[in-house]
Amino acid sequence: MKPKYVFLITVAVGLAGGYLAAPGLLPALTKAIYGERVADKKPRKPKPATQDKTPDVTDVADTQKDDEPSKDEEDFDWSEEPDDGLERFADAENPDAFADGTEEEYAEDDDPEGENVTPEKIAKYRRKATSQGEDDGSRPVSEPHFVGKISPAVWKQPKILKRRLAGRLRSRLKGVDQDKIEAYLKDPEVRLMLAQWELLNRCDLDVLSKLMKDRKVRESLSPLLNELEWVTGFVYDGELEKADVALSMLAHFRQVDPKMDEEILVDGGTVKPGLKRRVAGAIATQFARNGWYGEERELTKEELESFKDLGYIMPTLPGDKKKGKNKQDVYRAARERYLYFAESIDLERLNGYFAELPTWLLQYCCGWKGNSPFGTASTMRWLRDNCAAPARAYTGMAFQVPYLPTNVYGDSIFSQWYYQPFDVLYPGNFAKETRDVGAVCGGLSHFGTSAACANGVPAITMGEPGHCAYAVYFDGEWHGANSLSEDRHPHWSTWGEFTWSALQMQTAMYKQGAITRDAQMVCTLATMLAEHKNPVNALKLYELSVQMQPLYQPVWGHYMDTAARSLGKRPRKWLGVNEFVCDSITPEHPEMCAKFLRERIYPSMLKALRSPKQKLAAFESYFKNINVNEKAQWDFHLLLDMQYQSLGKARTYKEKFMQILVDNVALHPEFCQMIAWAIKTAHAEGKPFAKKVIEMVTVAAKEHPEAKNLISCGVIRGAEEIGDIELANQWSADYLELGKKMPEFEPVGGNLVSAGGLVTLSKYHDDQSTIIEHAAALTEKGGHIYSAFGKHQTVTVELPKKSRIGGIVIIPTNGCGSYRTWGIEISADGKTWKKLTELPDGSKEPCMRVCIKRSHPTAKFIRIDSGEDQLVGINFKAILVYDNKKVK
Amino acid sequence: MIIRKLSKALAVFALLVPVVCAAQRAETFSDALEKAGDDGVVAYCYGPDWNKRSVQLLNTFWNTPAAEEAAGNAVMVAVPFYEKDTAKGAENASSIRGNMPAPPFNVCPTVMFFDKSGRKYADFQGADYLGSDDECMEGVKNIAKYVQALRKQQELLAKAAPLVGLEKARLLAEAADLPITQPEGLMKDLELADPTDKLGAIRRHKFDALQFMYKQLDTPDGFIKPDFEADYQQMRKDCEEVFKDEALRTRDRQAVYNLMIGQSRREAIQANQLKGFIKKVNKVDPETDYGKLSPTLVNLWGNLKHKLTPEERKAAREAKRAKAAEKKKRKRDERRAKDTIEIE
Repeated sequence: MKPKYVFLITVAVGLAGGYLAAPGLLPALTKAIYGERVADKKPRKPKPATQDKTPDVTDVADTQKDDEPSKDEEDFDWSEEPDDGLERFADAENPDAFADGTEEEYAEDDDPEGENVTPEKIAKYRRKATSQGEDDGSRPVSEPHFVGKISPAVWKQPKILKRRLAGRLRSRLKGVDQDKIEAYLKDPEVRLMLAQWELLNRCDLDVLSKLMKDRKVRESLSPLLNELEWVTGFVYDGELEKADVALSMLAHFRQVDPKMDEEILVDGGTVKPGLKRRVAGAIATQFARNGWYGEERELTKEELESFKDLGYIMPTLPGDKKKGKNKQDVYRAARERYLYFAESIDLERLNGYFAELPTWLLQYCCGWKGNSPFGTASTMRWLRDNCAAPARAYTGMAFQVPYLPTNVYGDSIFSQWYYQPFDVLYPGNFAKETRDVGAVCGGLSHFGTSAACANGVPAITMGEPGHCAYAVYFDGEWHGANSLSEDRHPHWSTWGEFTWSALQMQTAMYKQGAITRDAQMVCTLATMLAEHKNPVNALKLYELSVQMQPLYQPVWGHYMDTAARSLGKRPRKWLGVNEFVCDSITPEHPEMCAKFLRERIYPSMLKALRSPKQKLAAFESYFKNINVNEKAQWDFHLLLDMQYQSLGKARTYKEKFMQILVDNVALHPEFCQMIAWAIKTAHAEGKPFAKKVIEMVTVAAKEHPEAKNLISCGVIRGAEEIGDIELANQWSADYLELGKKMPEFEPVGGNLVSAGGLVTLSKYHDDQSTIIEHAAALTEKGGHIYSAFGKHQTVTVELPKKSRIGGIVIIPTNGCGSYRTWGIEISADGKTWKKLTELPDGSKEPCMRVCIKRSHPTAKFIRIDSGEDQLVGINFKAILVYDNKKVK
Repeated sequence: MIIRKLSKALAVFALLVPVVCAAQRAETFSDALEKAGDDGVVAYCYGPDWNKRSVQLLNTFWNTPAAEEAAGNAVMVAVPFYEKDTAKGAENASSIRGNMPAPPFNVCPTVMFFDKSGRKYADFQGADYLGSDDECMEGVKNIAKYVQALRKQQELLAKAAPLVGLEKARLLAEAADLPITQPEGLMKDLELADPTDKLGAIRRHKFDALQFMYKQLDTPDGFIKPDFEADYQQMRKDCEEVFKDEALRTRDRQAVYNLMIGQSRREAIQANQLKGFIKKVNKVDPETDYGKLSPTLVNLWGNLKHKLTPEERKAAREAKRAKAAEKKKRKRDERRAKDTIEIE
């Protein structure tokens, strides 16, 4: 062997042996050669083979090269912090007050009953909320300018990062009482870390880890993820779901728009760089959450190329399994939307107040329905350039579109041919096509909404019974447009709730932006502590969070999940929670509160409350706090049923419950449907109880003459639902002379037999106030019978006694043109029906007479049925039934 | 000779007057109306606090010699429409606006045209009519178009004033056909001048294609009844009749014929016949939207196969029978007293 080989082998063996003998030697050598940082790095573990084979990962870039740390990534060494924050946590200044709790300690927690929620505490937070101001919700929450130091490389291992963030956060926490938490939240770094932890908590960390392995991605996202203002808005404004998908979309946007961070000059001043970033966040959040695919079309060569080049990991999205869809469609749709807004911001084409919108409103505005043909970039561009108007004017913008159920070729809007011939004239511009060709309610409302959103004004489409409406946000409120009913259901929501009440409550919550943000951060802290097996303090923090912002619905879920066991069967504590919920949510949001009580509080509380007396106190708390004058359009009977049934069989308490209900409805007569419920329920209990309830209502009507009409409506509706002719007529007696203008008509038979009868409707209209006119509608003086809108609407008239029918006169409120071929049926028992005739279509007369010449069938019930085919509402002035006898 | 030269010079001068006399500017709408001559007022609506584009266009389009030239002798006024009353400058907005109506749907930028009495006779808004360029060349052309239309309208009405009968009607009809709103009473005067509508102008302006269609489809509101069965032959006859009436607007004639085309498709007539109908619409005017649609329709509908299976033939026969029964029933309904159903 040549001497040089012998030397080399000796050196190699020596080094290897030295390394085995002294593990520090190789790092020392490396340090000497390459410098300190590289040497400190632990040897890289081989990647698990499964990671590379994950089926839902597409276009994975060659990360081997990208994994090399860049210069920036070396600036901050996160590993300097202790790995395990638990130790630091235990060393906090006041360990006794803030030790990690165990399940046992948690169970033994012996707070005096009811101390956790006190009126003083509530009052304190209320004052704070007020002093922080309801700014009208039209500006972003102000966060101090703060940029964190987490280097891009750290994001590659999000699980470790999450654990370390928790450690740091816990190490700085000195206690969980309000003052300490307030002081804690003043530290911008703490705020940033809380938001970052929450962000990670909402991500699939395995997916995020894969995403962040791409250097371009992590370097692109890192500045955003370190910026306090952006992260807090992204995480806390609106409900962040599928954060990992949203982040990958964001990386995508940043790749296609390198100018995202540039300042925008407006009128010589500047719009801070946050605007485009916030817009990007809002779009990514909503597209990731909903998996919107946008318009169906083939990707262009350029687009395909861009996806290939970007090489992003695209996590699986909802709807990926849909036939003919792929992930790129979602990313493309989101990217197109972002680029539209980025371009519009650069050109200053959006509404002048757009830049001031808080992120949650940007989600409505920029993240609007990505799956609608009204939401494509080309359509939005046209709307921007041709339908720019002040925000309030968008409530009328829908009416640019002519209401045409049939197009010029005679094809119905419900057929494929309505728009298809015109598509060629309006490529990619469905808004213009709609304006020129026509539409019905859905098209009109989508036009109005997309026109608003395209111009930077938040708007949303809503469903109403048999109708599509929309709402526009301005002057700090949502304003209904093209709306026919108050029974509204937004088509999508940033919160997972699709009711008008939820939208209102969400809006009210974000109007108190600063306090809401703090409450959300406290909730994050609580979740983090719960995850680190500290349920006692987690519970305290959840409690603090709900006290700070009771309208923040998600925290209630956490709180009740955690509190249910702690509160156990301690009635006073439960009463305290109930009182707090009712006091803080019911006044302005009775529907949301009722839902919350039903779903979250009552299931546990009603088990804990031993006496019906306590339950009554809890229920009264709900009713006495109602402070809005809105009609109960929601399923209030679910709450009432639950409350009533929990009282057991004792009549005394049931009576007291009814008394509470009646007294409170008298103060808020818009809830008169509750009186109808009371009568119906009491009737099921037997006549004496029903009599007692009616006495209560009578007294209430006397004591509150201003509410008498609506109370009467409630009683009459109740009477109609139980079929009590006498009761209905007794309460209708004052409303028989309404002075309605009735058309003249020839007699059709003998004597009027409908007077003193009973009207029932298959579905009552939202407007309950016309119910008092039902009895008059059975007389020649005239009244009003008004059903809800929908298919198969029926109005049934029960005659005071069986009669041989000689004729029927129907007087529609708006003339006979308002109905179609509706059927008239008769019955002797209200069960078996026989078709009498059909109302002819297209009559322009003010009334319709049905003359029965010979047969004169005997009947007690007459029913008019709108049929299955039509979406209509019954709207009559009178239904007059005559017998065949000689006129007296 | 001198007189001839002088008269030529005067004629040239007279021709140049409208060009030389550039439009005047006014600060407020009421000032503009006070100053207004025959060319009336042209108002530019913009949104200072909410629509930056319309503010930019003040410099690049509205306050330019090109716009002034296009406006002729009209008085030009820029009128701000604020979103928030608290915005800077909003305090003066109502005094500038005076009693000027808001632009349609409050959209800005909008150019509105008023005659000297304050009657709005035209407007246009948005990029479709202004153009996408900063100079709004399309908008400049449109200003000139509408101002000239007003001049023409006034000229025709002045000429028509002393005349009677068809001569007058012809001028009034020409004025009514201009692409601007008719002055009040024009149709009434036209009816007086041509009581039998020999010129067809009254038909042209009163014909409502939509109502014609609703009548044919037997629907008061546009929603076709599920059991509706068209009387195809009658509908075809009615549509052909309207289509032949050259006094009507081309668009209306095409619209009416479109209904017949749609119904022909629904009735599954021969493809060649359907193609023929479609081409007829194009022939009337290939430049209108309906004319442009013809090739598409030929592709979409011209090749629909209508070979019926025995079951379909049977169903069609039954449908025809049901249709006849329905027609009979309808006639019976119609025979009934207008407001009465009689039951034995």
